[in-house]
Amino acid sequence: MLFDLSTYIGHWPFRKIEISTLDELSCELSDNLTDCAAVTNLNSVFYRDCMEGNIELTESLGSYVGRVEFYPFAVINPIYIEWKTDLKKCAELGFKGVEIAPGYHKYAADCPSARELYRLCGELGLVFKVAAGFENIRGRNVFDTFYEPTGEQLFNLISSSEKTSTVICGYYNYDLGDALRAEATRRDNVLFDISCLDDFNNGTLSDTVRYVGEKRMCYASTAPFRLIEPQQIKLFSGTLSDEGVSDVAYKNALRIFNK
Amino acid sequence: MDTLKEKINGDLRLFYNNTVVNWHEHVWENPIGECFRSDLDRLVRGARKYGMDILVCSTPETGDPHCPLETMRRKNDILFGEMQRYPELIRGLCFVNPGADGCLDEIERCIRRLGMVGIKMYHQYFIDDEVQYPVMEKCIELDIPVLVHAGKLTFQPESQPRISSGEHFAAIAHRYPELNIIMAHLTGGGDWDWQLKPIVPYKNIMIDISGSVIDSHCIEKAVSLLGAERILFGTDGSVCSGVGKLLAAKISDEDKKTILSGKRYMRFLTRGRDR
Repeated sequence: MLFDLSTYIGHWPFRKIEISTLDELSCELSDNLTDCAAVTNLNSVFYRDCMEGNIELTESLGSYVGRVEFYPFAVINPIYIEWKTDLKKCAELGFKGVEIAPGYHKYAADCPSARELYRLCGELGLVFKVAAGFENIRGRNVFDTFYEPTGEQLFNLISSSEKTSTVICGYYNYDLGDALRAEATRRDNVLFDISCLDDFNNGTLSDTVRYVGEKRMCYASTAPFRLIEPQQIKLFSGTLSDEGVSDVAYKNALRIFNK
Repeated sequence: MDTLKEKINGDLRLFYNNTVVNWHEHVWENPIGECFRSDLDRLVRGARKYGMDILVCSTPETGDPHCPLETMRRKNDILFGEMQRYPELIRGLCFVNPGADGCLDEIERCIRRLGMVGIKMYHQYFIDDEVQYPVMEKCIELDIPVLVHAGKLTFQPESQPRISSGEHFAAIAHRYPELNIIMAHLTGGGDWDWQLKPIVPYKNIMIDISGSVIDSHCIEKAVSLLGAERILFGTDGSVCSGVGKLLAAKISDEDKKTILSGKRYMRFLTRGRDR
């Protein structure tokens, strides 16, 4: 089994991305033997009212008949009007998680509203996802955001509620500070993804194993921005233990969704 | 997991069953002026795991914009030591700062006496700066390629104020059509569209696809604009990403083999062995 905790549909304004629909994404993931995937609609990030993008995603899922089991994530902007109403609506609509986009919505990842959103996600049983960004920071379009939450901000955020299951994605190095590590390893519901790590002389994969352990790492591709196969190469590079491969590939993901 | 592992192993046959030349890797110096041996050993482990036949390595100075001859010599000697330790696997590129006194002599020393196969330049100067001209002419005279650190940074470009981007390569390639030049790590971070567009007409510019970036559609676009014969495989510290991005690219197996072997530049590696 393979569970991808970071995939997207929708339009990306800063570079041509050839996959934008749920069916296209499903084909790509199926071709790469993916069984389950958390999916977010990029349109939700860029629409003034995120909920319109979230509704688009539920509509796409309503007519979807592909093989991959999708876990929809809503984008919530915690400094936009009536966001709490939107959050409750998303929970009712069957969303499994919430992704924030602080760089695009212009707030700090640990601002009071973001922390309240984080806490409410825990109460509603929604997994909370925060990413460093969608693309490598050094080559982003100049119109894109260059904000990435710091380790201190991530610590402030996740220490707001230990009930909230959390996925942290897209960092090239998870040496983000002792406070974050201490909080994350005290709990079993905070996962760090492998999408930008590497092995051998790079060493960030083994560093992250040391940092938080295999039980707190997860497979994520960031498809369709990034290629899927490099993630799978990492799973079998030899750094993860046999049990760790299964943990990272799907078991840890299932755990945070209470499966 | 077994099915996935079988798929990956099946895909990796492309690496195991073909010649694989990794044109962009490093032997680093540690803080006490010796080879960073544990780092190199991890690289060698990765190279062997994925069937790489040759690692083309260099030991550049990445911090000092004025890097003097003594530093260049020390770094090139470290590299030479590892070339001797792994004679079948490692080929060397001589690192030079074109603004340092004695750099032409250092190139002569590394190529003629130490058996290195080309030169490596960092971002001490733009590649089309006139300080480069004698170095480029030396490379033409010795018939060796020059690998140049490159990128179009959109984030904190001031961190590398003289990093060369596509237009600099086009300018030097235009001035020296007989020069064999490699624009480094298309996927090393930075705007790869910007890098590709100006170099298309200059057949004497190759690129390598090393680096940590695994953006979709990048390799495909490079192949469509340049052709696979102008693309070299590389990793530059990102072995899994390097292997995976080539496997995942939606290009023909023939094009992948062309990139892996670096067919057009193979002659440089052979000549290096003869010296």
